[in-house]
Amino acid sequence: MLSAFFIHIAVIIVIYAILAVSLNVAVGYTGLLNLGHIAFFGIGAYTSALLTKNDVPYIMALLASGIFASVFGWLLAKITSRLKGDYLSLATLGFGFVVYAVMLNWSKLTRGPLGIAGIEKPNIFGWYLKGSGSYLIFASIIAAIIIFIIYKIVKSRYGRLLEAVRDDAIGAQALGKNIYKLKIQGLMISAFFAGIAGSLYAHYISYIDPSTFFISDIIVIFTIVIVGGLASLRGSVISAIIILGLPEMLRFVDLPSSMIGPMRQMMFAVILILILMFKPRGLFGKIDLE
Amino acid sequence: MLEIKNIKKSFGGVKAIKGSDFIIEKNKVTALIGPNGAGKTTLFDIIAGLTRPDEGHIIFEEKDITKKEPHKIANLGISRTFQQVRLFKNLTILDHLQMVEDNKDMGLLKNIFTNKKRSDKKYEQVLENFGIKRTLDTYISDLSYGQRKLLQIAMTLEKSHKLLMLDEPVAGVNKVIQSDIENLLLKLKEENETILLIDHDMEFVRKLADHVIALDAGVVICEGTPDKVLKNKKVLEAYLGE
Repeated sequence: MLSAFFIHIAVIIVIYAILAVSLNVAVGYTGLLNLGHIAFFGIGAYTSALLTKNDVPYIMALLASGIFASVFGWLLAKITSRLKGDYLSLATLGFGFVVYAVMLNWSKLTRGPLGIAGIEKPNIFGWYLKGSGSYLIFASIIAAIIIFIIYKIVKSRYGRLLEAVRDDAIGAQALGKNIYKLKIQGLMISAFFAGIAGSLYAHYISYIDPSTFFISDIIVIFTIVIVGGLASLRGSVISAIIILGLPEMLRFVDLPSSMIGPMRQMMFAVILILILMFKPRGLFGKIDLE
Repeated sequence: MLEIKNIKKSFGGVKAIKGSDFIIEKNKVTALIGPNGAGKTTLFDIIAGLTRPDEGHIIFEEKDITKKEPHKIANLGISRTFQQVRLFKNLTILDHLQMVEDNKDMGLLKNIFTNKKRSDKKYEQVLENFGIKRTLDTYISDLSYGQRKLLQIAMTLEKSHKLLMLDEPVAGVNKVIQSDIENLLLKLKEENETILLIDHDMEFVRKLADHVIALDAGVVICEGTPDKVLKNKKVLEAYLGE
């Protein structure tokens, strides 16, 4: 029973590590303060759930969830391509609200607040991921592949360009670099992997509804990224373990169940405040929060 | 090579450029002078595509580039420096020098699966040529202001270019680096580079420039040889306050 609980926490940590790493591509590496990242997670989850409900094989649905999310990443980047700083953040926040409102109100497709239940467990070429243990192995493999690909991207010359856009977009333009293309691609890469995380989440929990993807949940993902450090993949992964794992320890403290939820929120806040006060770059961050 | 045709630009109610016309000739050094607020840097930004003019045209090698995006203008061969250095503080010297080499870094897939071997020697030679005594792995945030200024000039020159636009290349640096940069510019003149320069050191402008354009309050008040412009009464009044 205890091990099932730990496996469940581990699966959630793996999914959130992907979300944090993908958000770090946009925020930490490209300098795009995207507050609507949770929307890509939701788009991926709904895409995958709806496709598999219509008999599309899981692997196809998994890929489609990433592609569909990145199409929305392209759309968001196109709309906001001339915005920066606070204006960009507000626009991306608005995007998160719009996607949430669509999930809630397009009942014919999403079943609105009722959500989609009975999302089947993945079957990958005969490997039926019914148990949490096998799902943890599968999710970890996907996470490892994603982190490897993102690592290769950010360590390449292309990745240096994304960082150049973050540090000084005008300077990058003067060197002949198309910063609009780079910003669009940065957001699309980020959205793609968030969409994949959404698919993993939907097929693990077996039930999704719009409340899972409400904009307030971006706080947890941002906390993971900031505590781990901007432009640090290792930081995002370790931070996901700390931020999501530590509050679960409260279950083993003799507290009334009604207090566990608020205590968890308080722990997020305390960890974030402590990091911002004593280690503003986060645990492994390379760059300052500006 | 570059033609500025009736350029006008206002910021809110302030008219920064009130209709400037001039020509930058190939293989010549042209200096743009004028007091602070004369519109020199605004003109640079308009030529580079960073600021859109309200009226007028910029013609580069017989092509109208007025509405082109900044990166396209840079790729046509207009290479510039900024008055306030614009480098990437979290990247290394090597990253900067690789960036100006070509635009192959713009390809996502090409770059993530190819491990190009570092050719340090080539880049170290650049550092040596420009007197930057730091290793290639040094982060920009660890460089002095003078070294950053030198690196910016090195990048502008290393980038494939037809026209160099240098905005106050010696502003804010110590005497030693100032002298190094000035010697470098004199060498570039000998090599017949086409340069558009903003500078406040009139003695140096006299030594370096083939042609001088004086701006005041957004209009060209005089242009010609350095001797002619620097003796012009209007220029003395506007620029030197005499």
